[in-house]
Amino acid sequence: MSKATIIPFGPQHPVLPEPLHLDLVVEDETVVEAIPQIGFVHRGLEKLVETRDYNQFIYVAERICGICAFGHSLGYAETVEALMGVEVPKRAEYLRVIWHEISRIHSHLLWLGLAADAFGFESLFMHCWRLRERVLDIFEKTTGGRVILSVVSVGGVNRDIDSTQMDEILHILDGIEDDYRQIMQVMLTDASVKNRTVGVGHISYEDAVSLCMVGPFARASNVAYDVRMFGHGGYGELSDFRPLCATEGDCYARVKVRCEEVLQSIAIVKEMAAKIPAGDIAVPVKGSPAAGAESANILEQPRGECYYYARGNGTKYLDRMRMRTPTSQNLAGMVSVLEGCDLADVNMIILTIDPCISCTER
Amino acid sequence: MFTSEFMPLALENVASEAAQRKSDGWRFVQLLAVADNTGSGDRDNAVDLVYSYMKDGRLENLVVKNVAVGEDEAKVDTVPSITDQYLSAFVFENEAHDLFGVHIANIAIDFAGHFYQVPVREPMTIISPEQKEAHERAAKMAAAKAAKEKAAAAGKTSGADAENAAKPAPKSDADIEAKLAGLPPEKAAKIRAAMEAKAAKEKAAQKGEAGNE
Amino acid sequence: MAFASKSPWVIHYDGSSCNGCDIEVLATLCPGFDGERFGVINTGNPKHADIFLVTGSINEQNIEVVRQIYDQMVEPKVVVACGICACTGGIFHDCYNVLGGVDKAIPVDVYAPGCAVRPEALIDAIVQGIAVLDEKSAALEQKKKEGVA
Repeated sequence: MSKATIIPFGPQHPVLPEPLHLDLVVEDETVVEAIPQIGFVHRGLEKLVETRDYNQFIYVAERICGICAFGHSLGYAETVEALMGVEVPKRAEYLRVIWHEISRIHSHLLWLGLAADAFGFESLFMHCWRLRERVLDIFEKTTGGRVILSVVSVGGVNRDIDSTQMDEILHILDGIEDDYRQIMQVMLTDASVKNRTVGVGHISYEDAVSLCMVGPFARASNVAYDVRMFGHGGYGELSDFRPLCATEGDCYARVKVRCEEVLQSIAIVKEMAAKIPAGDIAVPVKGSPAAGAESANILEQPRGECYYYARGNGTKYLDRMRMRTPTSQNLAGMVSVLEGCDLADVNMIILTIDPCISCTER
Repeated sequence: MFTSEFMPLALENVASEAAQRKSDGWRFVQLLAVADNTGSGDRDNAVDLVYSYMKDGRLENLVVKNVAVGEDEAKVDTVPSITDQYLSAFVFENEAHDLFGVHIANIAIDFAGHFYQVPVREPMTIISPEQKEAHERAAKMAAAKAAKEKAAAAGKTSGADAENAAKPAPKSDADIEAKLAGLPPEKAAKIRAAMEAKAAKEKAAQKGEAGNE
Repeated sequence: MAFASKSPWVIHYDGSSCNGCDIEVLATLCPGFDGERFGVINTGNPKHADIFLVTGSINEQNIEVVRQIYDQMVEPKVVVACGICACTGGIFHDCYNVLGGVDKAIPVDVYAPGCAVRPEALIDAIVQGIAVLDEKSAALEQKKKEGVA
């Protein structure tokens, strides 16, 4: 038996743009234990809710994470709306779904690129990010921002997408879909991808359930859970929605689930764009949340289920705002999946979990 | 559609509830702490803990009220860890310890206060001046509203005549006070000063008219 | 002009950014904006890098990490603060765990504001950084000569 050695991983590490530190206890080349150390991105923004009123805080909420920015502003707005009993117009709900799904396409393409980079497929990385630029073009055309969109407000959305813009979006999406199918073909069939991913970082269905994993990480282990299936908000208007799952539970399955979700999101955007009703895009919101009122809400982010909690105090300022993000829920899964893997596979496994550190630490 | 409910939970039942939920197939969603800054709790330094579980589209949030926290070992409540049932809770339990000072015993992966490095201890339990002000304002607003309702009720019982009801009621002092209570103090002070100046001006104008006659 | 001048290698570190600026830093180097046409290569090794791109503000825990990466880089070196959080702390300036901009930890040469910073601004900042790098290497050269003479 060889001696156990501790190898530090991160915080500055080429595979992740974000700081995550792991102490990897290795015996020879096998990881026997992984101890995460986080807190490098902790800002303490939940405390800001006391100095920003509930309308202003939406701009803080979307800066929790620059990748899931739209999702966080949407989740926060829905939570405050539930707290105050605000009914959002139908058109606004449709628009929210459209932007949210386009965000998912952007997030997954970004992730596929990073994954390609992690297994050393540089040109695939470049292709994914090239395609992602076209998704960001849609954001820029419809909202004016590339990353931080600031279109959600409590009570609806700030901007409308008119029919000419909607046609343009669909046209761009058609082009993206054609290109994307080629990339997906490479992602799912190329030998160099399969060599790095098939059978690596396996986690069983039973473990995924008992570790309470969420998002594509769990769905790759055949846990059919996706918050969108409850039909909350605009998702209730979809004719059919079922979570996309894979049974293998390894890195390849996680790549596959995300690959297929991009096509699913494109289909959702198309369906919503065809069905969108005319009408107002926001209702005026007056008053403030009652003292002691509480509300909880969940939302499917690109990385999985996100939980929001808010408590009012009778003024325009909330007492507490809390987001439980998908990555913090998946940390336990990450620690257990790393046990027993090869040291050289660590970066690939961490990446397929798609950790979002700034979400986790806030 | 999922449903979200809030229900109370006693501190001594935290562990048994987790075991029960686990065997019934519930998924642990999250644990959060809320600092009880309202001053309404019967303890000085207390937080509420919210445990959330989910199953078949039912999101149940179990609220443990008034858990004593802080540095004083003798006074704090010790919360049992639920990481023996749900390992994923270790993130939230460490966070509750570092940011709120909640004492949690036997966390499976225990960072012992080094999960977050923060410049102050338990930053989330500190009552900021802004928050104190917000609570005072909320209390004032509630009081002013109650006074207004009382006045309105009194007006009704005395039998307001049709003529009076048809006319828009002149803005009563209680009405203005209720509005002012909702504003930041410096803004409210400005409005009060402006109102006083206006009243003085009107008085002066009345005097002037009287003089002309 | 001795060496430097054209192809600066960059190293990126995420202070306590929200990711928005990080992905814009990466997007700058990808097709679409193609920052690599200036010879820029993203490296993970501080010893290889000429320009240090920092996103996000400085907090208690990462201040040492940022200093360490900066100290490991060889002279001449340039620091670019990417995004408003790295410049001043931005929207998070009054958070309890935010100390302020990157200049609280290390000297900053170029500030590129924006939330999130736009790739155009980043390219501009990197090109300005090349000029600073040239100045610094000339000064270094001068110092060496004086030392010899």
